[in-house]
Amino acid sequence: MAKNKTGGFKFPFKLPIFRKFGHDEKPAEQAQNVDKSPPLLKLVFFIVDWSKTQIISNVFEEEKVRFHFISKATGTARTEILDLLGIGSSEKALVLCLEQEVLVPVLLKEVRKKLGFHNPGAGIAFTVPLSGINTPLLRVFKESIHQNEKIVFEKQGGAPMAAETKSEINNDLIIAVINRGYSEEFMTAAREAGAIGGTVIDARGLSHEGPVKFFGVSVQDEKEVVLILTNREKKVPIMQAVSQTCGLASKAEGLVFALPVDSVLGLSFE
Amino acid sequence: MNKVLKEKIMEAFSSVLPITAIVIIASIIFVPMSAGIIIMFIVGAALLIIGMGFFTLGADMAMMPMGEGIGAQLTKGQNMLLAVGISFLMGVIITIAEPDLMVLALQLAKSLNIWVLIITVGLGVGIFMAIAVLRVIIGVPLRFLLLFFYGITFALAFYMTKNGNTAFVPVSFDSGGVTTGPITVPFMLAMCVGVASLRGDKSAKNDSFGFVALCSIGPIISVMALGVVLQITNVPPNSLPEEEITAIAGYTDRDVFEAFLFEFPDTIKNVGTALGAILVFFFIFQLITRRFHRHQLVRILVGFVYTFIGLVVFLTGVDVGFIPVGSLFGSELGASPIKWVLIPLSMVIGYFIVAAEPAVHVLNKQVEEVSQGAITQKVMAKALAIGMALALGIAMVRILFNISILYILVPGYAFALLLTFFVPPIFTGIAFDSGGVCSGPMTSTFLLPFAIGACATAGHMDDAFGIVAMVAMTPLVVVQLLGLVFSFKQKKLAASQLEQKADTIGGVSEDEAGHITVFEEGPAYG
Repeated sequence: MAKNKTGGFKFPFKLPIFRKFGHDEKPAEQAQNVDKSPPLLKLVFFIVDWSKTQIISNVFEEEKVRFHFISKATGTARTEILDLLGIGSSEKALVLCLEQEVLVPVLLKEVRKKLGFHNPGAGIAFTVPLSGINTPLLRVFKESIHQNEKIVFEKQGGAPMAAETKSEINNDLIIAVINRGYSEEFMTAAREAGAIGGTVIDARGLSHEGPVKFFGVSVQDEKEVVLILTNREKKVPIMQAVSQTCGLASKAEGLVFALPVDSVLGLSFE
Repeated sequence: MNKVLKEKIMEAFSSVLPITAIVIIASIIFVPMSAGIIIMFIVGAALLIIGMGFFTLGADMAMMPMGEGIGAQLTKGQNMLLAVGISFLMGVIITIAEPDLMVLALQLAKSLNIWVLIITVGLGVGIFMAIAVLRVIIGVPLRFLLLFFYGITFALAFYMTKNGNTAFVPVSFDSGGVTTGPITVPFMLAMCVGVASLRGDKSAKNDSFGFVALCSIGPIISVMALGVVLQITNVPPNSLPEEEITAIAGYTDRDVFEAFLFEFPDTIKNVGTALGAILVFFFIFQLITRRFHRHQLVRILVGFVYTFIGLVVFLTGVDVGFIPVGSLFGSELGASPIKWVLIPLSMVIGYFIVAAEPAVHVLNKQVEEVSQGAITQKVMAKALAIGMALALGIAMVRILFNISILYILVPGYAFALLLTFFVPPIFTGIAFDSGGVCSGPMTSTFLLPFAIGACATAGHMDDAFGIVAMVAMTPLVVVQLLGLVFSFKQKKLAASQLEQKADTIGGVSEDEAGHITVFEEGPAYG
C-alpha cells in the first residue's frame, strides 16, 4: 500500500540545517566545561510576505542560523468587508528558527535591513523564550558560543549586548487552534476586541484516541491555527472575546492560549 | 492601491503582454495585417488581462475552497459508494460546464453533433474522476494507473489506425487535453488536495496531484470509443472562412466594438450555465453537509461573481480577438515560401503563450503551496514554457512533413511513463496534471486556428488536430525531467547534510542523545 512509501522526496526548508563552524572541534567534555550555565536560547518567529522568504533564507545563510523551518500561512484582512471582497488577505510565510539570545538582536537587525521592516506591513518578527531543549541540540550552540560572542562584539561595536535583548515592550502571542473554516469569524471577534492583525496556518488535528481509519488510511481533523501578536493590555480582552465566539463550546471548538513574547520588531501599536 | 489587487493585475499583465508583443512584432515582419485585425487583437489582449485578473482572484476565493471542501468531505464521509457517486456526478457536471470543450465541439460540428461529443466527454471525465478519488483513498500509486490506462488508450489508437480511422485519433487526444480547462482545473486541483489533505500518512503530499492527469485520459478513451462505435472516418476542421477574414480586415473601430459587444451575451450564457451547474451542485452539497458557514459562503459567492466576470471577459477576448489572428497567421505563413519560419516562430509563441493560460497560474500556485515553497511558481512556469515551446515546434514539424501523430505520441508517452519510475511521485502527479492544464483556452482559440490555418495552406488537412495533444504531452516529459534534476540535487544536499550532521553531533552518546536540558529560569514575565 502506498501509505508505507516515503517517496524519497523531502523539502529543503523543512530539514534542520546543521552547520559546522570553522574552528577546531573540542572534545565533548571540554565543550561542556566552557560554560556551566547553558546559553539562553530563543525561538524567533518571522511572519513575512511569502515572496520574501528567499531574502530571509539568504540572511539565515549569512548569519549561519541553524534549525529553521518554514510554513505557508495566510494573513488576515484588515476589515471584514475587504475579506469578503477577497482583496484583504495575503500570502505569508511563517519562519521559525532557534537562536542564542545574544545573537537575536544581530539577526533581527540584519533582517530588518534586508526586508525594510521599518515600512509598515512589511512583516513582523518576535522572539519567545525556550524553557527546555534536548542536550545534543544545545551542544551545537555551545560549541560555537565563543566565536559567536566575538561576532556580536564586532557587529555591535563592542557594546554590551545584554541590555539590547531586554525589551521594554510587553507583548504576548495569542495562539488558537480552531476547526477549519472559522478563522474569519475568529478574526472578526478578535478585531472588535482590539487585535490589529493575525496569521492563519492550516493544520491537522491529532487526537489521543488515534485517527479514524478509512480503508486503511487515517483520516484526521482539519484545523486552523491562528496567531495574533498583541500588547499586554489587549491580551485578556481579545482572548475573552475569541473564547466566547470560537471557544470550546462553539462549533469552532477553539483552544486558546498565550505565550510571552520578549522582543518585537516591525509592529506599532499606535 | 490594494496589495492583493495590484499583484493580480501585475500577474495578468506580465502573462499576456509578452505574447501580445510577439504576435504584433511577428505580424510586422512576416504577416502584414490590416489595422482592423490588429485593433481587434489588442482589444482582445486588454480583455484578457482584465479577465485573467478577476479569474485568478475568483479561483482563489471560490473554486479552490469549494473544491477542497468537497474533497475533504468525501474522505471524511467514510462512505466509499457515496464518495464515488458524488465524484462521478461532479466530473460530469464540471465537464459539461467547461467552455473550452464547447470551442472544440464547435470546431468539430461538421462531423459530430456537439452534444453527443460533450456528453461522451462528460461521461469519460466522470468515470475517471471517480477512479481518481478511489485511487487517493485506497492509495494506489498514480503511475500504475497511468500505465494501465495509457496502455488501453494506445491499444485503442492502434486498433483505430489499423481500421483506417486515422483522422479520429488526434481528435480524441485533443479532447483529452481540452476538457481540462479553466473551470475544471482549479476545481479538480483543489478537490485532489482536499481528498489527500485528511490523510495523515507520508504519501499524502505525493497524492495531492493527479486528478487532472486521470481526468484527461477519460475523454481520450470515451471519444475513441465513440469514434469506433459511430465509424467516423473523416473529420473536416471548421476553419474560419476566407470572407470573414477579409471582412475583419476592413473593420472600423465601431465594427470592432460591435464584434465584441455581440459576443458578450453568448459568452455570458455559456459561462452562466457552466457556473450555474456548479453552483447548484454546491448548494445541494452545502445543504446536506453544512460544511461552510455564513462568512465563508458569502466569500465563495463573491468569488463566484469574480470568476464569472473574469471568464466572460477573458473568453470574449480570446474568441473575438485571437481566432482571426491565429487563423490568418497560420494560413499566411503556411502559404509563404519561408514555411520553415513556422517552426521557430511557433516555438517562441509557445514559450510565451503558456503564461496566458489562466489555469496554469492556479496549478503553479498550488504546486508552490503544497510543496511549501520548495518548487516555486517561477520554476514551474519556466518548465511549462519550455514544454509548450517543444510542443509547438513538434506540432509544426508534423504539419510541414505530414508525420502520423502516433509516431510522436507513442514514444513521447512511453518516455513519460518510463520516467514515472525514476521521478519522485509528487512530480509524476504534477507533470501529468500540467499536461491537461497547459491546454486551455489559449490553445483552443489561438493555437488550434493557427495550426488549422497552416494546414489548410501547407497541405494535409487532417494534421490540424493533434496540436492540443502535443501541448498535453510535452509538459509530462519536461516537468518530470525537472523532478529528476530536483531529486538528484535533493539527494546531494541530504548527503552533505548527513556529513555535517555527523561532524557536529557525531560524538553524542546514547545517554546524551535522550537527555534534556531545562532552563531553570526564563526571563521574568510581567
